[in-house]
Amino acid sequence: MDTTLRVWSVLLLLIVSGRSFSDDVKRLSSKLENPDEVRKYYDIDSDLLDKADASGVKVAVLSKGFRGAEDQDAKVEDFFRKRYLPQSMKLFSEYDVASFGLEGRNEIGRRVAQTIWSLSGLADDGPEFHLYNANGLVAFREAANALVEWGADVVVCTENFSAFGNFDGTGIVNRLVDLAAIGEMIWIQSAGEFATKVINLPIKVKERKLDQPDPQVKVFADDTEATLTLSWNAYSPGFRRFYGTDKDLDMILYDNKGTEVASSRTRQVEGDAGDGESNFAVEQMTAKLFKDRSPYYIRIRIENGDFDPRSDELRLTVDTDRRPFFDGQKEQSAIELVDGNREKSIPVPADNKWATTVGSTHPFSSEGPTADGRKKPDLVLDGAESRYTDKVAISGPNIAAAQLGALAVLYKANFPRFNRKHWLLALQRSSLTPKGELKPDRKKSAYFGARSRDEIHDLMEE
Amino acid sequence: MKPFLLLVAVLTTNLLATVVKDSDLAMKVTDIATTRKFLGMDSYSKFYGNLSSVKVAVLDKGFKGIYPAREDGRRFLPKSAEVIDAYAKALEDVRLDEEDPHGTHMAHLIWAMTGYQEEGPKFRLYNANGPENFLLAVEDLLKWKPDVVVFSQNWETFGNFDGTGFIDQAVKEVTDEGIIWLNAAGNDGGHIYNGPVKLVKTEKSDYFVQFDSNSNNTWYLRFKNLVDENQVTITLSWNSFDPGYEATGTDKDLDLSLFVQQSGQASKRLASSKLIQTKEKTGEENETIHARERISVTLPADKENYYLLAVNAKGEGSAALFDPKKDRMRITIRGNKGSFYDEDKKKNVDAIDFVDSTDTGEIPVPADGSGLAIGDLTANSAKGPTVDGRGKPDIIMQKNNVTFSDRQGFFGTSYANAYLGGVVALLRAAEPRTMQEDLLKFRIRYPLQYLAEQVQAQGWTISDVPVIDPVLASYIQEKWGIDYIVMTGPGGRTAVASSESVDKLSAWPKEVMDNLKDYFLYARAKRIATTKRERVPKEVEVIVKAGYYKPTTKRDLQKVLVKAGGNVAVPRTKTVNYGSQFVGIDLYRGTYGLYQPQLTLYYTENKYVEPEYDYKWVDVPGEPEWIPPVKKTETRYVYAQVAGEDRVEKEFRYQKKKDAEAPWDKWGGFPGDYVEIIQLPEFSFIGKGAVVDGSANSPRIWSTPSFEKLQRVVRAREIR
Repeated sequence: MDTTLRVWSVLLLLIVSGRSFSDDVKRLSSKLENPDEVRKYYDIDSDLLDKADASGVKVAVLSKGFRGAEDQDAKVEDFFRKRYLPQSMKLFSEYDVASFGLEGRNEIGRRVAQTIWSLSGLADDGPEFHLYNANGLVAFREAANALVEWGADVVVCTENFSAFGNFDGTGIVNRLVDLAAIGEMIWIQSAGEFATKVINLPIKVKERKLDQPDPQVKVFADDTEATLTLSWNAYSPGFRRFYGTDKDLDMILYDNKGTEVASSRTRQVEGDAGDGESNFAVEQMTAKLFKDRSPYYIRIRIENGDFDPRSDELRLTVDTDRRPFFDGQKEQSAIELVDGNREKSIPVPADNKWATTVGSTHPFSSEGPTADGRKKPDLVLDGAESRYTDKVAISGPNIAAAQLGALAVLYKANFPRFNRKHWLLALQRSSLTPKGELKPDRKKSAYFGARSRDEIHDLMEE
Repeated sequence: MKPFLLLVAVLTTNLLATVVKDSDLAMKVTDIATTRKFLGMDSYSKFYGNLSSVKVAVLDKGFKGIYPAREDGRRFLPKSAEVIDAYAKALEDVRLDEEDPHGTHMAHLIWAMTGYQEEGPKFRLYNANGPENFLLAVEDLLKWKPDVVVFSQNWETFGNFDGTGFIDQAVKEVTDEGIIWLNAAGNDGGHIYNGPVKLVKTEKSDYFVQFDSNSNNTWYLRFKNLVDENQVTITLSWNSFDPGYEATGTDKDLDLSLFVQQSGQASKRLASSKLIQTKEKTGEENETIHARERISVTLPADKENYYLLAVNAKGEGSAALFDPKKDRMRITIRGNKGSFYDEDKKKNVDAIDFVDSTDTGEIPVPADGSGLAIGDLTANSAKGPTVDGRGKPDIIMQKNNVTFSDRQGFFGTSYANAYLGGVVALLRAAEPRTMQEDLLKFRIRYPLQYLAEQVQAQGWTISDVPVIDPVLASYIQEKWGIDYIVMTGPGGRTAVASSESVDKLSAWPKEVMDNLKDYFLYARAKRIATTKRERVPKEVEVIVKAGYYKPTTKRDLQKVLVKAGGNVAVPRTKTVNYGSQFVGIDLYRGTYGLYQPQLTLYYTENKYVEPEYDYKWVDVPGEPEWIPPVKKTETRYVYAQVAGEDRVEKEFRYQKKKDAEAPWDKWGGFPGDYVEIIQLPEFSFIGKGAVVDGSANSPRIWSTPSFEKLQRVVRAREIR
């Protein structure tokens, strides 16, 4: 073959072929890389997967970030469109009322939905996903109302609050979850990552201050933005209308030299709230912290109201988006709340009575019990890591919730009558502890094993 | 100056120096004291007072935290620092990227190295976001006349990769003024193809480039993308840039196309770049005066199939303009996903696997120019030579990573460059007459060339040079196409050196020996290995680094070891004379951002001591794994076997015993059965400089240019 011919034969190979777009979609979008591994980890029956028909299953995901999902099917290149979820997916980023928008860079909600889709079979026609912006109280309320109206079968919620509840399953947020979960809806709630980041204290007043030393925050990485939230159990357990409280606390942050760094001095009031006033028993502030000013002190002042240390309790939460770093010997948090609790770190609405709260063995995964002494999380999974084909790997309570959500979807996809009662029963039997209890023990995840299709069938017959 | 006056002067300058308080700083460098010491700067705070007279220009794309400034008033630089964001002459309004902290890191590192002094150096931070801003920045800094310019960006085009082109010309104007220009070598190692523009006519009268690749099909270049949603930029550039400052265009017109291979089907075109190259701008759409094409695409992962790159000339007229003997092209592939941990391979792998990369000639613009190109020891550090055969990078900095007090870490040649920037700034404070040429004393040496020159200087013919290690000789011969290897150390203490060779080498001039004394030898080699069972050729890459160091205490030795590898322990073996000379040989494969030796052999006074730690050879898929050397023994050989083949290992052990008696007899007969034998005493001289290209294929001698050494160089020059 002469050179010219050889060249031509090669160029023939380079001719554009006419593959359809839909073929490319499956091949091109990033997706869960290790679904088989995760399914194996939870002993998910292959029969359960093979016979699943997820087309009618409605899945709601509540989160404050779905980056990537907003431009689903957007044309990126001539040959490439983004496709993370089934075509029927809908994203609700805004509501009729003013609320916080989605966090632009946050993609956990999309990853959660991807995980559910991949584990439940990656079928073109289902499940049907509704992704709800739940960033902030107003958005959360709108999302909860919308998903109830839609009639979601399974809800997976990654959002948690350090306030807006009494940490005993009551309060305005929990009431919203109650309404959704009290029916047949399966609400799977991430336990959040608040372990060691909270302090719970009885409100014992002395000279308008808490009768105890000011809590301290130590800083290990400069320029760390911290969010400090103070909340106390002055929320009405009801829902119809929230009239507020006049129990008024303020929070001030000082550095190691006693210089005030930041403060939150909202005035808590009942009834209509004006400027600088709020009905909610919460104070919140952000501040950039530095090592040379560490430790910082958090002074809590009692501005108004009668507090009874036997019944009134506050929770101080100190959190940051900054990831822990490796200090040469161990993983170290950028900031540390001195004497921060691991126990009783369950946030709102992970403390909800009707939701299935999922924790993980991640070091910051929140731990129970709740303020009223219930065991939470309901389930602690050490969870297989979810790895995606764009080489992002995620573990922790949010992904554990997604993986458990996928199991719920699979049950529902096999048995359309499968509901919340069946789910709780299945979960009880999935927990293989000697007494069959669901213990929020950090090492008990090995006791979890999914039920087979036949077992679920029998369970529903019962 | 009288001693008294000198003392007063020193005290005065010290009094002038003010260390900025931590509470004024946005962040600090966590291990800066260690780094200063490593680079010989820790005892020279007496020069801090002079820093106010030192001017440092940093050119970059973004200075986040400085521009715009932080709201809380905390700083990254002295108060005197200025930012030049916009230029009066700018034709396009390309401003600094306010989210990019890269330039901030560069300037802050330099300041940290010079002791966080309020007095200086004086910083001017220039917007060099794009070639136009770069040229305007250069124009401005020529008026300002800084002592040193630190530029840690680069382009994969806008020059001919031989130090010419409008960008390089601008740099030359700076260095011609006696200003020191430090340029990061870039991190495109393994991501570049270089070759001639050899166009071949097709049946349809198209002209396609035939590549110099190992593939069966040379009409395209292959690469794999292993990560989904990788935003990949592929740049084709050829040497048709005006060598001068005028940036006149070219009508030599090439186009670039990207295809994806599909199993059992025809390949599919994904994208192409078909700009029209012109000598002058006419305002037509899709035209450019620059000899470059660029494709930016988001690519899905495909482990099975290759992405293919094809280059063609735009018509017969354009094809006729190219001469394969003179015209050369370069393709650079960059992705936004760096490397990732591969669960199957149990190691970090690059998201882009450019299988047809040439692995040489990777220096970008303007690192190929008249400034100094600063590289590091990672595999991603761009390798030379330049197109015109100059060895680059000029200097290798061992230190290339930083952790700031906000606990964010970064690494790469940019950071290596900034560290050297700090050394040079203090040097200018101490020795204002420091010149770029002084730093060239620490230029990487390419020993093939150097030793060939020395051998000739001795009046020897090649055949006179004693061959000491025939095994290594055959290995080097195969790889580098050279005939002889000479290995020895001063005094002939090493067991490998024959008395004959020692006699020969003891006759080498003292200057030669001294010159090599403080250096490391850094060699890189590839070899085709064959498994015993399958006889399948496999390629293994090994990087060999030999070092020379004189520790005086055990603690000192420990520092050396830790410095070299980061994860090694001091040998606990007993009768080691730590006070004597010591040589370390590291075989390592550079993983992204990590300096990770897999094997270290240590020699002391006539003794070989095996360090007691686990060797971790980061293996290449399908390539042999390394077996640690036998326990304490005089035989200094490292063997390799093929992963998973137990039988081979057993045979190997048996064979090893025999090898100890007369290794080369055995090995000479079966060069393919096992892989490397590395045997390097303190100094390794590789003779007959048949290959002298300063490239990755050529061993390099390098040394980190510390402040102390540089100061000696400057003073010695002045005395002369």
